[in-house]
Amino acid sequence: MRGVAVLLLLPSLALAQSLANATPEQLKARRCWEKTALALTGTSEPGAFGRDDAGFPPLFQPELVPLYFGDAIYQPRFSNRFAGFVSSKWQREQSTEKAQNVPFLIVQYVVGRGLPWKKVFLGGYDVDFTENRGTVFESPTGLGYFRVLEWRRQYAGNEVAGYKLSTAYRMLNNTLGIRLTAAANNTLGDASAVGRAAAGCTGCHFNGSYPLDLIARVLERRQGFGDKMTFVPATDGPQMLWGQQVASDEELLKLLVGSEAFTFNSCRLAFEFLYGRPESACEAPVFDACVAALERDGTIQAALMGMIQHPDYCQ
Amino acid sequence: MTRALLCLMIIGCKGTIIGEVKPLDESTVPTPGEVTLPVGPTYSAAKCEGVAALRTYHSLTGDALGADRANLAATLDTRRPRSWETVQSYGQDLNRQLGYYLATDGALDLATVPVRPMYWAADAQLGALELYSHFRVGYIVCGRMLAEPNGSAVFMSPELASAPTEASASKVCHDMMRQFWKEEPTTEQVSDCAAFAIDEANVAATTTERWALVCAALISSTGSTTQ
Repeated sequence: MRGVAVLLLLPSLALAQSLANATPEQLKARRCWEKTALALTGTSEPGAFGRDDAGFPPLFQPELVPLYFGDAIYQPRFSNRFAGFVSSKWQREQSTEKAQNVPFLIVQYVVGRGLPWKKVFLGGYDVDFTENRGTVFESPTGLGYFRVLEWRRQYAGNEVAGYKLSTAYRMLNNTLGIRLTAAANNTLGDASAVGRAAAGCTGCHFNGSYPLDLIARVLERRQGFGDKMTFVPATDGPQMLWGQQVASDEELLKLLVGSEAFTFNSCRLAFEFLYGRPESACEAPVFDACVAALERDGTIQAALMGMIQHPDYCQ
Repeated sequence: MTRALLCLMIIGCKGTIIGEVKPLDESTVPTPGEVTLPVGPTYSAAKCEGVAALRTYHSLTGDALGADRANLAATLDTRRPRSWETVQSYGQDLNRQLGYYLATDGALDLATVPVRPMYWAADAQLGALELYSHFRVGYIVCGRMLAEPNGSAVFMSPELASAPTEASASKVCHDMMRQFWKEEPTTEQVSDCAAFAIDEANVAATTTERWALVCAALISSTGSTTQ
């Protein structure tokens, strides 16, 4: 069926090269095709889409989108690019070390296989870094990238009692897009739990909407630093978070990933990947199409296609 | 070429040519209170009207999400820099824009072209070096295309065989702008480009080089380096 469609399209594609006589609508359509191609794959080369013809249809027609990008979004070029984009949002800083880019490896694995997006956070995975391989493999004890040793060490933080405040923040940020600004110290000069409970600090640490200290208490605790860093199980017992008792990292992540805020943030991520900026008020219908597709199919590919095929996408 | 690079800013933007810069007369500097600053035009982005979100979303604490959405019209300019990958592969990308394919273009010296960092994909930052790289590689590729009989499916028009005139420059500029920018250029932009082809690009020794300067200036302009 697809082969027939390609054959029917070829005559119009051949005419699409020169834009000297294109109508304003055709110019706009061409820009939209290229913009989408560049966003998804980083190139406007037809070869990137597994096609050897020279151009795009003269008009941007949503029903033709799968024909051009349906395969491309399952190719390594796309998963590599999307994982890199996610890294630029989630990582504290750039690194060329594989062991410092665990989220990249897991996202690439999940997205590259067309698996549900939630698996990035909840899937049973680990990474083999023997000889710097960085090979992702299935692990019954895994929890997205959050239990990969290299990531645990990278974002363990330096809290004096070993509470992983940094990990708690990364979990909130990566799943819900929450942004908190860390203060180097408080006016008491006390960075311990007592100081963090003081006025001016407690809003982020104990009493606010996203209390880092309470979240950290359901996580393992850090002991030591660097290569000698080890972890011990949480001992503070369950914590009341957002009206629920939460006793472990797995329960915490299931709560976060099961929320509407997670779907919202996932689509904001997908939207920004596609457009290079967050959605504006006028683009809410396109955004909603992303949410609907993500809820229906679960993959980031579906979320993106939901937006690209929305009638307002190229407006 | 440096002179042409400076001029490409003019073509790509508004067409204002900066005249002679006079030294500041410090004896006439007004003191505070003596001067009323001119009120410039008020710029306000068009607002979003008539579009309502179909759904509302809530955070874990019940707050409405999306309140931070900018209230801008959907038609507002949404261009972004072309990707790192296209910046990395100027030759192929320019070939595609030009409708011209030459295998040897892959061997261009791209030493100054930035490379996307591993494990990272943010939009490319187009600084002076990147802009110059666009121009430099654009000049080479445009020059090869123009020197090749029937080299391009897009731009091999008879006008390119001889030095630019007002009429030929206007036509070529118009066609190239549409091709590179995917937008209809304004009369002013075409006029500025034609003036560049006639007045500024005449530093080039040959007709081909002269048109290559025009082509490279356009392919380095904002409309081409963004998508």
